[in-house]
Amino acid sequence: MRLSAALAFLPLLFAREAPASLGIKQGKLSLSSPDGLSDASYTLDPLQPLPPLTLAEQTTLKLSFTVIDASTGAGVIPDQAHLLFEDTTGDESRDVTVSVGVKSSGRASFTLNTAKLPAALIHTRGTSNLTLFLSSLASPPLRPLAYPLTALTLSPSLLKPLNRRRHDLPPRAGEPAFAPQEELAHTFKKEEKSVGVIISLLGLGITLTPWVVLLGLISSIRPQTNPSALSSTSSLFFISLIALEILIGVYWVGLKLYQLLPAFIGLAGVSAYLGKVAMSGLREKRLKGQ
Amino acid sequence: MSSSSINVPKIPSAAETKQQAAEVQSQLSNSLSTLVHNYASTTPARVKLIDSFLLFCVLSGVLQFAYRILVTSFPYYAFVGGFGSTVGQFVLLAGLRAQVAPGRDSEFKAISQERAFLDFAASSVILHLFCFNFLG
Repeated sequence: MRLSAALAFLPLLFAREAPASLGIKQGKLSLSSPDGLSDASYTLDPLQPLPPLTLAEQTTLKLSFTVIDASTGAGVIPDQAHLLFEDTTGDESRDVTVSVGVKSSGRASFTLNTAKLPAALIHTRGTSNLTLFLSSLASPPLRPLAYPLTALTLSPSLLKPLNRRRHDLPPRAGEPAFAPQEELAHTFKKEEKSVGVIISLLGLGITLTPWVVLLGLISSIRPQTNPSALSSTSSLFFISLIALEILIGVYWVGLKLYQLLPAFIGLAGVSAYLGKVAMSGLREKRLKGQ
Repeated sequence: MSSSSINVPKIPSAAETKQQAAEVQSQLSNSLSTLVHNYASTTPARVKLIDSFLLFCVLSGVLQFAYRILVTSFPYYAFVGGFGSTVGQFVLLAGLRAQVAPGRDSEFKAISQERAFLDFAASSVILHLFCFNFLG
């Protein structure tokens, strides 16, 4: 009997305790206005939801409550106390979260004066579901509280146009916002016109005319000159000049100036020496001939 | 007052005008042929060679400039290099001709013909280097 009685309590020993949750007491929501016509006061009761409220101009909403441990009733300072103004259209980007001040005793109060609405609430559609969120990271842990308060409507005169967001532009009729666009094809400039054969040959003829004239004149003058009179030093000098011209051509094709200059200066020095020797010999020959 | 004291300029007839034009033309052709004949007979061969290159430079420069004006300046730096080379070479050749032509002794006593040619060769090489640089 004792054993069976003891065994009967065993499941209770291994059973987990249900965690305590946050709660509120002495919750009160009141509306006040200068003329007193829309004044109202409500006590927060989970069993009696509040009626929808409308805030007109010059109206003040006051919410006050005490945060408690629902199991023990002791005051608790929550780590999070916020009011969520949830947009009724389901557009989460238009929801507004406002923090609620909580004192050290656990007493919290929130005041919303329509004369000084927060900027986030001014640029909303005006209709929202008001929910209180409380959470605590204390040990032992307390289950957070999501307390739906009421449906709140702000007077249109208090509101300003909604802030435009990136994707607020309405899609064009019959099209979603991001539809596949028309494929872009590369466009290149028109092909260059090619010149006709006759005009090309004519241009070639005009280009070569100075050379034809030069060669013609040289061939007529050549019999009068004495090309065989070139001495070996003169030939070397002319070869060095030709080498300089070839070096300039190579520089034009593939060299940089700093690569050209050493070779050019060296070859120029050699040409200068060869030229001096060649011209000295020619001068002597010319003076002897005179 | 008699009409014979007034001198009225005589207006030449069409035949007379034609005759005068033919006379002028024949005088011009005679002068030109005399110039060419004298040039061919009196100018040394080396000077004629220089003159041929001078003519070549003139023709080449004129053609390049005409292309630049009539067709396009593209590529611009190639035009600058090409035209500059013809002008520069013309100047150097003209200087060489002045220094080696007959009758130069009074003006260029201190510079021999060979020295003039060496100067011309060195200047031409440097001119070619600058012009090739412009070609790009």
